[in-house]
Amino acid sequence: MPYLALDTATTSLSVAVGERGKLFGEATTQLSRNHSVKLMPMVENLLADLDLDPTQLQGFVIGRGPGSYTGVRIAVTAAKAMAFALNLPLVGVSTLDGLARHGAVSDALVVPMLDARRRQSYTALYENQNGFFVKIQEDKLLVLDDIIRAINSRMVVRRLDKTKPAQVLLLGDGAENHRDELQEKLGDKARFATSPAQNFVRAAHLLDVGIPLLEAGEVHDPATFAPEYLQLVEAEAKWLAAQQAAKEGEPS
Amino acid sequence: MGYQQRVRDKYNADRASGKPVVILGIETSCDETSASVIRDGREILSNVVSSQIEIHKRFGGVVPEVASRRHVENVNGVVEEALTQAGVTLDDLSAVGVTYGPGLVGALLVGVAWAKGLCFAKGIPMIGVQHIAGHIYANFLSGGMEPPLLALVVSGGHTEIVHMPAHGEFEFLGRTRDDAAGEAYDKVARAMGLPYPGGPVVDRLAQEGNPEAYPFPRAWIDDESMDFSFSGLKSAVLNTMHNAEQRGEEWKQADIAASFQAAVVEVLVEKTVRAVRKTGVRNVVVAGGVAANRGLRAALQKRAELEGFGVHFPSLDLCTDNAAMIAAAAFPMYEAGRFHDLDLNAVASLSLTKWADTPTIPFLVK
Repeated sequence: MPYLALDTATTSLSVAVGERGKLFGEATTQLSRNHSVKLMPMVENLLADLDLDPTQLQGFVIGRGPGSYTGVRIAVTAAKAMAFALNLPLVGVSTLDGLARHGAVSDALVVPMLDARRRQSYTALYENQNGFFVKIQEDKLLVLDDIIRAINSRMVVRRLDKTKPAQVLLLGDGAENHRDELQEKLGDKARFATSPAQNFVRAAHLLDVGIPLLEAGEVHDPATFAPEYLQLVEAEAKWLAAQQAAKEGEPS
Repeated sequence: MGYQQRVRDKYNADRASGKPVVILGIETSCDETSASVIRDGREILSNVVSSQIEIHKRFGGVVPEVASRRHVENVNGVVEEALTQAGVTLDDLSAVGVTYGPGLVGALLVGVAWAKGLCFAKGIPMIGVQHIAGHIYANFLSGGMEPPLLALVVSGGHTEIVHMPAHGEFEFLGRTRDDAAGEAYDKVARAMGLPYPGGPVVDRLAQEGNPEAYPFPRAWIDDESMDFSFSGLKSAVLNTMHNAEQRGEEWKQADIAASFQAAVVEVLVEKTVRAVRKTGVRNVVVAGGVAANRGLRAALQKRAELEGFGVHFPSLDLCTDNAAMIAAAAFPMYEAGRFHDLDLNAVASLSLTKWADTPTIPFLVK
């Protein structure tokens, strides 16, 4: 029985169906500015093409961000409803995993970058270790200089291991939009996608990450499941800062 | 089998079985996450409203992104509670009605995405509901009237007089040219230093003040017009308070509130009377958050008795945003077999008169 994966956190709208070790099918577009309109018809069409009915699914893997706030909520919310309606398990995984795993066969340090404007990207670090593609730094929102610092810091460790080339594979629109600067500062360590086919979030990659979790029973509660935004809303951040300032101003 | 065919099959089977029509309503257009179950369009089996008002109070108004985030966290629990209270399961549902506009687009999208996920998974017919139509249909839930009707729509975002010749048909007779009545309330309340949301507080203060203390202007526009304008009134109130402060004089909160409310209510009531006289439609319903205003309820009731037309207000708990009214507005669409497809989108500025233009699933009743 297959699992369904969805991701709407970036400009990529991606849907995949598969089991452990077997991808039945995947549909992805990258021009959609309207994931709300396109997502469910895409799910319906993919399942129909595979001669599947929603009741034949056995679980959901959802890209829970980081990315566009409004975008990420589309798939997360639809999945919360489907998991509730069909009484099926759901697990949220990082949208960055869906991008990074284009580099799963690479020996380089793999750094997915989702552009978050103002020279910032949502990013994480991945590397192959003993044949496993491993996330070695959790999702963060970083400015370009801090991303370069994190890469160089990891390079120090990698230099100790002769099997690991001093290379970094930079993926995603964050890498493309800052390509010149990354190239200049990282020199010949820097590698980029060799094709646009390696620069977007794939739901098939989310299945690779999510299916083992679902099969191990490591699932989210659909009722409380929510996106991972990595940022507070600006009004909330200001309010919290004001509360903190008021507290510090109080005589003890 | 595709979604459209599953919907057709379910609808035909449900109609043939003669079982009651059970509609789940979902409403997330602003800062209330709400779900409700309604039987046969009239009977409320449950109406759960999770308000975020305490959260948004600290910001002095609704922060759209905060509202959207809370909707995602709340929606499953609110729907489950509505089903439990109603004593029904998903398999008992005939259809789902969901607000798809107007409202905050990010907030609307949560309800729409959730409804589509549910309806796709279970093959349930889905009806996108225009939010203001929902407010009008709140009147049908509390033993209201049948069309033809006039609806006075008054809320934070709307001030309109609507002619409703039949179910699902709407025509604007008049609308505000600037601020909505509820918006004027909120702005005046803020200037008076009252806590958010200020409308109900102004209404309460107005009960204790002198409505003739300040001669605030009434915008009639002309002898015929059923349009409204509240920005001049709002400025006059603000200027009165400002000038008094400049002169070092005290202004009485209750008198300002009462005089302001008298000006708003008089215009709302008289324009409604104009609409009744012009159309000959003798039944009026009031819809929207300001329908809870005691000053408006009393004045319109009194004037209707004098003029000899009928007036109906929703019960107080159905004046604010809720999903029961959305399910009620979905009911005539269900009867007509008008269902939306999985490409339904949230529309931030969806007009009442454009509701019927959103394409529905081509329907073949066997």
